[in-house]
Amino acid sequence: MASDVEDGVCFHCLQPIPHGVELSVAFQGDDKAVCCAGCQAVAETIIEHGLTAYYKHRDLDKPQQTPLLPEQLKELDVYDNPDVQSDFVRNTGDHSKQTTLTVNNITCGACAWLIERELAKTPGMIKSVVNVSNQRLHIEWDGSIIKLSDIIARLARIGYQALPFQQNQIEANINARRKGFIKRLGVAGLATMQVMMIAFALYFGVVSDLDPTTQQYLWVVSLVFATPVILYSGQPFYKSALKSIQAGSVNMDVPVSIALIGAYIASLYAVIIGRGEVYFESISMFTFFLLTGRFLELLAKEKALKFSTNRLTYMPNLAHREYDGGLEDIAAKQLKINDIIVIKPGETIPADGVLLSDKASVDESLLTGESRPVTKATGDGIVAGSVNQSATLRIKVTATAQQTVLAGIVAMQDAALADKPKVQKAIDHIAQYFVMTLLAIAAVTFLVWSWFDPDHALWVTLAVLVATCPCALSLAAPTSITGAVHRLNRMNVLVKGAQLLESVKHLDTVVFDKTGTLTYGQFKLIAREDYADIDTINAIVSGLEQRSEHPIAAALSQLSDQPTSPDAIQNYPGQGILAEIAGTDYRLGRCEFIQIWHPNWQPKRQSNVILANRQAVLAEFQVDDEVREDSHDVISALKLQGIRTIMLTGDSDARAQTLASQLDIDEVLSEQSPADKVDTIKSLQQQKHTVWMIGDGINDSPVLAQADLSMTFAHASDMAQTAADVVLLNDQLTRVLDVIETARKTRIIMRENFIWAAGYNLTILPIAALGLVAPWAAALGMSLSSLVVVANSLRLYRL
Amino acid sequence: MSVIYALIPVAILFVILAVVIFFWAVRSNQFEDIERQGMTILMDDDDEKEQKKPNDDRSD
Repeated sequence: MASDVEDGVCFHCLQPIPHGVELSVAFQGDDKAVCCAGCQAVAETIIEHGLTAYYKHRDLDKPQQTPLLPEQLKELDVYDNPDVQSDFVRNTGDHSKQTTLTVNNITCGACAWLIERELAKTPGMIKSVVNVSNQRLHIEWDGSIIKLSDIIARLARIGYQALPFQQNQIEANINARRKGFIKRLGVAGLATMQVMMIAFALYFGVVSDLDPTTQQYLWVVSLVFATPVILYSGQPFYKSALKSIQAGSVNMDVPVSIALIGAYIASLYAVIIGRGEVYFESISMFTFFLLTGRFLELLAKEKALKFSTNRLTYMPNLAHREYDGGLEDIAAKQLKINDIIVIKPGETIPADGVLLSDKASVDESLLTGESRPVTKATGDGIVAGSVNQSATLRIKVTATAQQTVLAGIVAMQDAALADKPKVQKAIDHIAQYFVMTLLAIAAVTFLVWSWFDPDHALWVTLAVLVATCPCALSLAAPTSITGAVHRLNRMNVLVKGAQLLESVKHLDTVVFDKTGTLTYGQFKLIAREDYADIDTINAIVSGLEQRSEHPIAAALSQLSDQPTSPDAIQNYPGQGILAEIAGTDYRLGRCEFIQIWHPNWQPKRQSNVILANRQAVLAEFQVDDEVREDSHDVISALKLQGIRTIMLTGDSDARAQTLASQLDIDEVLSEQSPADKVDTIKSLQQQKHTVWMIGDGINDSPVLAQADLSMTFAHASDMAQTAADVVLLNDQLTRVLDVIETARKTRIIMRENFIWAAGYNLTILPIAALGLVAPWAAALGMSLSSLVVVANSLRLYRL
Repeated sequence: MSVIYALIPVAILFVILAVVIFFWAVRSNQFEDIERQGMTILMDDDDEKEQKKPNDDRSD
């Protein structure tokens, strides 16, 4: 935490400042450079509102917030509609309303402070509470003074994107369980401390002499402390054991419960008759250790669950329907077939339909992953979820809500998820044999001892039970798994599914999506060739491209800070731009468009944007989706490990092959529809391959659900994030290698744990059965073996 | 040694008290968001100092 920001990065968002941008904000007498007008506005608002402490205390190691684009702000009115609100707002009084919003760019305590301060100064706000761990904001406001959209807009002005989300029932359940666990842990912890203290007095009593009355008194005190532990703290184990017995199987909680309850009853009996052995300290300590393990497991699960719930933001789509010559705004779900709707430039198309306008250019990347816009003519089908890249469109609706292609992909994802190969929990297998063997040995011990020495039979049997309590064994898996999850979290990798450890064992194939996974998914200027003065060219090109909506245009519109404004401009969709500047005609566009003027000219490079006037070609640019810096390293590292790499893409074959040879990928499958991709993975799985899939688009979500393990990025579509088992939060592909390494390391540690725990139990068993283990030694040995397991798992926390 | 007959029951009472306070803390959601509480103290302190600055032109 520091307020020093390095040179060359934005003061607000810490992203590198693009070349040629010279914006700044005044902060405590200094001018601090920022990267864009958005960050400037946000920083100015924060400083103006007297909230500068945010910049002093924020955590610079964590990724910072990125400001909300102004276009998104305009659509917030939707959330004021009472019908829409009924889904997520609670009315608590005449005007007061309550809701919880997810704010996905809260990174540290300073953000929470900033949001609460800003809202506290807003008239009409009754209460606002931020939860940093959940990235949630709970608000209560007076509906007669302020509107929900105003609250969301205020937060947007200080750089936070707050949105309603679909509440999850499982989450409320986990919340309650977590509270229960904290209480049980507290009781077990406090009681264990007391019982251990008394146990030490008793241990020394074994060596020196302790008079029987004092010993009896200390036993009773231990009993008092151990009783709430066994009756209250231990409940989760008994419940889980009962459940598994009812289901006709045996899990690890069965031997744990038998040992705990058995030891408690025998100790209670010893206190009543005034002789024998007591095990109160072992009982309390086991319970505390085991509860801690379970609690950490629950926290990891909760974190992953909250992350996915936060992605399910509630996005009511509005549609503009033609109605008696005018336009009316209605919710997309109320659209009917044959309605005529109008889509403005940049808007998402709310329903499948047929194009009525002459021509359209739509971005279907959401569905196909292909970032180049598709040109459509009258009568062509338009798919819901694609984005209008051209002028205002008219569409006749052919399918709504549940029937759209988009809904079809969701259904495909659900089906794939149900089809996913199941992971067998190895630990519960071990438990079954373990319990049977244990009970058999305890029974034999008891029978043999009652034959030879009935007085000692009970105590020896008990020593066997305590010494073989599978405490260390049942900690072996959960502690190493939670260790792995925490380690990955610290690397900014979020683990949602339990498949990671099982699937890494036979991992032999990694499948990549192309756009957004191996590439950045954004157009960038990769190479250029100039045949005239570079500054003039830059000014002309950026002047023209700023007036174009084509996605390639964005890559070139920032070339110059002083763009030349054209006097006249004419757009040829799919071809280029014809413009007049100071009496000269220019053409900017694809090769064929330039060859109209210069039929014999050929580009030097693989250029796709060319600038020319009537006399000569002035410049050529190669604009393409840039390959990730680390893609090549990741592919070659995977190959070194003997893992086959495959690229699946919806893209055309030529472009896919170029990238594949550049990255040296083993296999390429191009022009794949979402269904083809699922089939490809399925057939690989049928050939007994274990397949990991890395992708980011909505079109990838079914295939992500089908793979043995799937990964996606934090910027990926919400659907991909819901489907994926692992989310790489900091957008680096190299993290894939770290995930594999951590998973392998965890398997090794888990195996060590198992060998140690089982080895200890097997060694102590015959000694205990012969009656040679003193009760305190049995308890101590058990605790030590548990500590060894925990310490071994803690190695995973070290990076 | 007889002093332990009096002191240990006192200790038991203290532990019971500790458990009661702990349960109250859990029930009043004090363990809901552990990440930010350490920060809260820092931030509030700073704010008070800033409010004392004369050039602070906030209207509230």
